[in-house]
Order: sequence, then structure tokens, then C-alpha cells
Amino acid sequence: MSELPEQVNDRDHGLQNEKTDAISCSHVTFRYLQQNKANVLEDISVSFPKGEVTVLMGRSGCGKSTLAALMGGLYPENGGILQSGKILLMRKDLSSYSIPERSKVLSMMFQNADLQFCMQTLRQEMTFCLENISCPPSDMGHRIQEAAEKTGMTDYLDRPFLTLSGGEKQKAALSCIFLLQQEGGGEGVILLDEPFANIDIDWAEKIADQLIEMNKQLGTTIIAVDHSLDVWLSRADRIMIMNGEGKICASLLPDQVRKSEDLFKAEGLRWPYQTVLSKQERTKICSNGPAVGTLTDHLPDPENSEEKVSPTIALQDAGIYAGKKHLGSGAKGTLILGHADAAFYPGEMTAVLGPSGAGKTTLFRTLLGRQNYTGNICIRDDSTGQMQELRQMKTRTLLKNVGIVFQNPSNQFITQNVLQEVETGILGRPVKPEKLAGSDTENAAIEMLREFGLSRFRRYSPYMLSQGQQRRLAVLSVIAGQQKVLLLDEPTYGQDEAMTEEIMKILEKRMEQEKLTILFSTHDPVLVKRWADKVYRIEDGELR
Amino acid sequence: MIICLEKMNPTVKMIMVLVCAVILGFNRSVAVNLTVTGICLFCILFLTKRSRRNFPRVLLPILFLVLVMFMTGYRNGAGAGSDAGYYMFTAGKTASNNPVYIGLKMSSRVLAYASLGMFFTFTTDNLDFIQSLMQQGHMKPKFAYGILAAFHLIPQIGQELSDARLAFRVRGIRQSPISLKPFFAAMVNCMRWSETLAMAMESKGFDGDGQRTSVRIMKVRRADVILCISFILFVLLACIDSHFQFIPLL
Amino acid sequence: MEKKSFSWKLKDVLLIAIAGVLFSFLYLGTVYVGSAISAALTPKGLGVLGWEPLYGIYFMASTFAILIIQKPGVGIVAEVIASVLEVLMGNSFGPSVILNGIIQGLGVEVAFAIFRYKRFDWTPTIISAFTVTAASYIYDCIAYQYYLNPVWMILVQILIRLVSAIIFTSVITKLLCNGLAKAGVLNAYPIGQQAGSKKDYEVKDEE
Repeated sequence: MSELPEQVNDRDHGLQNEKTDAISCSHVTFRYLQQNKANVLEDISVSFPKGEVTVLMGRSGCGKSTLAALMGGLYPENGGILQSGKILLMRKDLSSYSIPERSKVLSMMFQNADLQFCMQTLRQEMTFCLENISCPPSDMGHRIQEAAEKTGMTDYLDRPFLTLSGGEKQKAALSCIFLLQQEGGGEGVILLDEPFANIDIDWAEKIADQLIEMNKQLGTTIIAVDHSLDVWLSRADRIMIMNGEGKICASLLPDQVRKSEDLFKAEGLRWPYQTVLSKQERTKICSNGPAVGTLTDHLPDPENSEEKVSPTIALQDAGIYAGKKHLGSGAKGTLILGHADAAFYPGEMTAVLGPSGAGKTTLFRTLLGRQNYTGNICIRDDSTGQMQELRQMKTRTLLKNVGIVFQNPSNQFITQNVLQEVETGILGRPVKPEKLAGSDTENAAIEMLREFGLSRFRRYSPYMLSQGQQRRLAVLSVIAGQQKVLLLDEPTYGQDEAMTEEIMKILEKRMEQEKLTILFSTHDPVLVKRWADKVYRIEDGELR
Repeated sequence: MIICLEKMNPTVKMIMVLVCAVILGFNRSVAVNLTVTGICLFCILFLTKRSRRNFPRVLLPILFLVLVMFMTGYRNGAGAGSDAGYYMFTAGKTASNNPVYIGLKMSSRVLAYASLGMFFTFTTDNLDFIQSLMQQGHMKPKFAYGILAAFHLIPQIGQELSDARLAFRVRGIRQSPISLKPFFAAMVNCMRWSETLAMAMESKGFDGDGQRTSVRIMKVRRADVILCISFILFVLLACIDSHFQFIPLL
Repeated sequence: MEKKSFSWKLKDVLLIAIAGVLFSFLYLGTVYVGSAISAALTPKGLGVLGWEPLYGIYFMASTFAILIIQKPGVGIVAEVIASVLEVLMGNSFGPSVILNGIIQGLGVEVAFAIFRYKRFDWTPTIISAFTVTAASYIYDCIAYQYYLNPVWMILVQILIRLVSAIIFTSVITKLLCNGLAKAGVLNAYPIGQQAGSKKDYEVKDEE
């Protein structure tokens, strides 16, 4: 990194150096639809030098992903209108490349690991890649083997994608990229669109290291779009920041970041020095959190359940099984969590940590009565105040007490506009505070929306909101229901710092007001440190 | 023979099955239907190495359908001798008004269709089928791989639908299992996927119209054509014979 | 047809294929009900009527595609995509489903062709239920020898199928498409562009 600053400083003064640019955009203006009033990107000029690792940061919805898709040649091919401007890839106009030709020089890795593959296994997918670029079939076998060896995925070649975790899938995607880049001679560009948004930090670091290795060995240019620097700060050569209007407002060297706290704050981004945790600290958080209670002390004692500190959820020697719940008790599926003991109390925010695929989501699904389990899981029924065994509870009673915010907020919505979404929440309250007349419900809903800054959008279809707004609405709609136990599956997935703060603050406030029990799952140790009263970690089939 | 059926070119096999199905559509002989059924089931049971684990599960609904069709013919067919429709289609030829016979006629037809279909699905690999549609059937890669990608997404789509149903229940709204609201919610999400997935595929160099090489090279061998033509001829001749009774075999 | 035919992109194929999978889930969710009715009616010889109410679901892919993409030919192609998927999923009738699909797609397409592919509102959508019922029934009548049944039964069968087509193929599909367009996920397609822009829904805050 130390040999680069000079060159970068030149560039900061606006000198265009086309010879050494891997990608350069000049005066790019882009909008999605002709009838839209505003452009998503307005007159953007930016270039990315060959062989560098650049991180492009910005708030949710600032247009950074759009820019990535444009540079990847996916827009305007797949939608939108490039009003003006030009994008050069390796000094050649991007639109003059054929798709197979382009893929050898430029690859992309996407946020959603599930939607990157069209075949069933990595071997098939890699074959598909090679077929795309018309590689002779006789060569494919050893090329696939070679690429898989380099990325350490040989054991995964014939395993169905369905059985892989998020991190493994992202690594599989990287293997495909590696394979294609090898065909192009290695001096290519890799564009990453929030690649680590839903995998845990260990996997993220592994993958990032692999990318850096490609960068060092082959001179691959890496451009990562991300909203957090946690993984990148020690690895990137340059950090670019995009502001809310879709303009590049700063280009920093990694050592300049320390001095730029205000800039990060102003753009609603997490300033890494404020919260960056050392590896040790991270392991500490992950293994025994800030205030982990000694669990055995609080195990539910059925006779004392009326006591003030009685938990709302208690697990006792619970074994949780993956796979579909069957009516017969015969087939249980595979055990993913055994001998789990835990208790969750009202007015507490508990974080559930664990590597991708460890079973955080499955744990939540169990608490909703969707999975098989052994042992005891008790949940307090709010209407009677009694602890009740989960499997004896009626699904309806259970769901009156436990609410969930899904990982993907758009799974949450059940109506066609934002206002109704909150209204149904209020109407679905198990115990109605007073008899609410129709207009009262509406007023209450509008009031809540206002608190969340969403009232302006109340006639929108929920799906039209931005990702961040959708997530706030999802949280709101569940809070409105006034279930006493809230499960939040990765509530800050893909959110920038400002949004995260906002969501968590609201949750905390509600929690204190209503004595809610909140459980959230996350990969983010920083989030845990900041908000959680208690931490559990799911690892190797155990809950700790 | 075993090799013949599994390695038979899927497009040729498809043509064979389709043409036979069309011919059977004009056939009125129970014996011909049963012969075709027999041949197909024999092939599935003895002449393929592919997994037949699903066979009973697939066969059961078919047998139910066959029973339904039999009862339909048995209960209604008898009175049909006087029906205008009946005369129109059979050109006045009333071979038999026996209700059992009419029941058999209707049910054996369905059985023969299903057997042809099962013969195809149980002896054909899905990837081979798609590759062959591209290579012999000149289907564009974007259709072939688009269909394949959607096929591989089925488990995720199912999950999406069940999540959507769960969302309604969590919010305290009762849903009947066939309610369309969760279906709509799942649909909104799935529609978004099409663009994401398309972009992912294209970034891997996939060009929906362009040239590509293929690991699975599907060839049409002479044996395939011979088998295809001879089976079609067999079914055709059997139908003609059963109609005109040149040789009173069937 | 003066309009030039539509050129499919990969994402269009995926859109229709994914919709096709969802429709088949809908079918799978309802087919048990159909089979139960069927089983109850079988002793009377009316078992075939049990499945008739579900027929409309078969045709949904076709109307869905036409309403969204609004170009000639897409109905047939969509139905072929859906039926190849059916074959991959192991439909026990195998490739015959593709033949079925082409005929059903044609049936839907006719209704929109009558209006020269200029109208995609309720009128052609409802008419398509009639045309697709006709096309599919003629095919089934020959294939399954329904002509052997008495005329009253044929009429009842056609009537149930028609009602089902109107409900599923026309009304539900149309509402579904409108809903999706409103939700903003079809913005890249003609139907999405008619749905109006985001700004139309914005409400000024009272404060």
C-alpha cells in the first residue's frame, strides 16, 4: 500500500490516467425509467486504477449498487436508461464487449448468495461458466479442478448448493469468478456488490483474503461496494465515498480514514475506528458476551413462574431439528442444536450470534412452532401469565405471544399499502387496549408511521419502499401487534450505520415501554457490543 | 437394449412419445392401449438403470385417474349409444355398447398416455433433456437455461411461499391453505429474483443467443432413429389393424 | 400483425418460469381438494368433474405473460416454458404436456389477437377464458374421449371449466398482474409503466 499514495494523490487532483485505469466512467447519468423525475446517478465521473483494491461506500440507496451494475455492463442491458456518459473497461468501450468476452475481464459477485447460481452443484455451475465462454469440453475437467483447488472448494464441487451455507455459497461464487478470470489471463476486474452482507465475519475475512491474494498474485483489480469497512480497512488501497445525491464526495487512503470521522458521520456511515474490534475482543464477545447470565440460575421453576423475574422463554435441554416439521413424530430431520439451555427475560435484548448456517434462523423458527424439537421449550402466555410448553400450545396462541421480523423484510408484508400494514398489526393485537373505532386505528397507525418517518409514504405499496424503509416498516408492523416476544432475524442486514442506529433505538425504546423480550440474530459483533444485554452463540450444534 | 433407452436422444424420444400419443388419440382399441402400456411399463421396470424410487408414488395417482375414467365410461357410456356426439365421433359404428367395454376404452387410453409419459420421464435425465432441446431442438440457450435455473430454484420458491404464509399467521390473520394473499406476497419477491438471477448469469458470461460449447454433446444415433420410427410404425399399424381387422390380432 | 414480435431476454424467461413454478405450487395446493371431490364423485361416474375446477390454474401462465409483456406470441411461449418445467418436475404425462401447453397458449392468444394486441384490459382477458376453454376442451375431448359421455355431462364439464377459467385465468391473473404492477416490481414492463409512478402515491404530511 505504501507505494501507491503518490499516484493516488495525482488522481485526487483530477488527473485522468486512462492507461492505468481498469474502469473509468465519465459523466455517467442514469435513470431507471423514462418517466421518473430524478436520475439515480447524475453526471458521475470516477475511475478505478488497475491492480488496486478500492472500496466504494455510501448510504443505503445512494446508487452505489446501480453504479456497480452499470460498470458490470448489467445495466442498461437489463433495464434503465443511460442518459449520457461513457464507461471504459480496459480502455475499451464497455458496450463494445460481447458478453462472454466481457466475463473474462470483468466478473461480479452479488449480495444474494442464493440467486447467483442456475445449476445444482458447483461443478455444474463451473461447467456452465466455461461453456459460456466456449471453452473446449476436453479442457474443462482440469480447469475446474485447478480453480477449485486454488479456492479450496474441491470438497464442495459435487454438493448441491441447497446444502451449503451462505459463506460457502459466496465462496463458490468466488470460485466461478476465479475460473473465468483465469481464462482472461487474470488481469481482470472483480466487482463486488455487498458480498458479505449476509455471511459472518470469519467467512468474510476468508473470502476477502482470497481476493487480496488474487490481487497480489495476478494483479486483479478489485472494486467492492460496501457499507462497512470492517473487513476492508486493512486490505483496501483506496476508499471512495458516495453521498446521498449519488456523487463521489471523497476518495481516501486507508490511513486518512482515521482523520475523517466527521465525513463518515455526515454520510451516515460507520466510522471504523469507533468500533473496530480486535480479533481477541471479537472472540470475547462471541464466546461470553458483555452480560451473559449464568443460565442455570434462572432456569424456569414452574412454581415460581409468577415471580417478577420469570423468563418469557425458557429452553431446557432442547434439541432442535432442521428440516420440515412432520406431523408424525417419526422423521425428525437432522439435529442442528442439542442440549440447549437458555432463558430470555422481559425487558432484555438478547443477541444470537453464530456462523452462517449454524441454525439461528432455525432456532427462531422453532420458537414459532415450525420445527421439531426434543426436551422442553416453554413460552409464557401473556393472557394467562403462565409458562406453557411450546408443543402443547396452539399455534394461534403461540403467535399471539411471539412475533418475528424476517431476514428479508419484504417477506413480512401482507397488505397492499403501508398504512394498512400497520393497521392490521394494531387490529391483530391479542388484547385490544380499548375498543378502537376504524378511524382511531387509522390515526394510531399514522401516528406510529410518523414516529418512524414513514407517514409520507402511507399510500405506497410496501414493496415500493427502499430497503431501509422496508425494514423499518417490518419492525413497526410487528411492534404494532404488541406481541411480548419479538424475534428479529438479522435486523440490520444490509443497512448502513445511521439506519441501524435508528432501528435499534426504536426497538430499545419499545422494549422498555412495553417490557418486551427481544431476540435478534446477527453476524455483527459491533452491533452486539452496542445493544445486547446478553449474548448467546450457536456453534458446532451447541447454544452457549 | 438398456443402453439404448437411456442414451436414446431425448428429443428423438420426445418426438416418438408425442407422435405415438397423437396416434393413440385416434385409436379406439383397448388392446392397442394395453399393449403400449405393457411395453412402456416393461421398459421402465426392466430396461433402465435410472432410479425408480419415485415410480410407485407417480403410479398411484395415475391408477386413481384410471379408475375415475373407468367409472366415467362405465356409468355414462352405456347410455351414450343414443347420443349424437357419440355417433358423430364414431361415425355410426357402435362396436359395443357394453358399459364395461366403454369404461375400459376410456381408462386404457389414459393409462397408455401416462405410460408413454412415464416411459419418457423415467428414462431421461433432465439435464440431457434440456441440452438436447438446445442442440437438436434449436431451443435458444436463454430459454433452456432460464427454465433450468427456475427448476433449480423450486426449493427456494417453496420456502418463500411458506414464509409468506407464516407472515400472515404471525400477524394474527387466519389463512386458508389455498388463500391467494400469501401467494401474492411470495410472488412479489420471486419476481424480483428474475432480474437478480439474470444479472448473475450474464455476469458469468452467459449470452442467451450466442455460441457456446457443451460438455454433454447430444448426438442422434442411427439406433435412436430406427427405434423411434419402428415404435411409431408399430403403434400406427396396430391401430390400423385393430380398426380394420386385417389380421385379427388385437 | 403490424407490431414487431417481442424479443425475449433472459430475465423475461426467468420471470415467466418462476411464475410458472409458483402457479404449479398453487395447483399442488389445490389438487388434493380436487382429488377428494373426484373420489367422492367417482362411484357415480362423475369423477372427472372433480378436477375441472382447477383447470383455470393451468392457463394462468399464458394470460400472465400476455398481460405483462403485451406482445404477440408471448402467451404460447410462456405456456411452453411452463410445460417444459412440468416435464422436468416429472409430470407423469411427460412431453404430452408440451403439446397441451401449445394448444392452451393458442387458446389464450386468440382472445388478444381479436383486439390486434392493442387492448390488455378486462374485455380481452375475460374473453380469453372462453377461448382457452374451447381450445383445451376440444383437445381433451379427443384425447380422453369425453365424446363418449352423454351431452349433459359434456356441457356440465365445459361449464365448470369455463367458470374456473374465468376465475383463475381471467380475474385472479388480472388482479395479480395489477397488484404486481402497483407493487412496483414490473416497472420494466409495459404493464408496470401504465401503473403510474411512485410520486402519485405520496401523501403530504399534515405537519
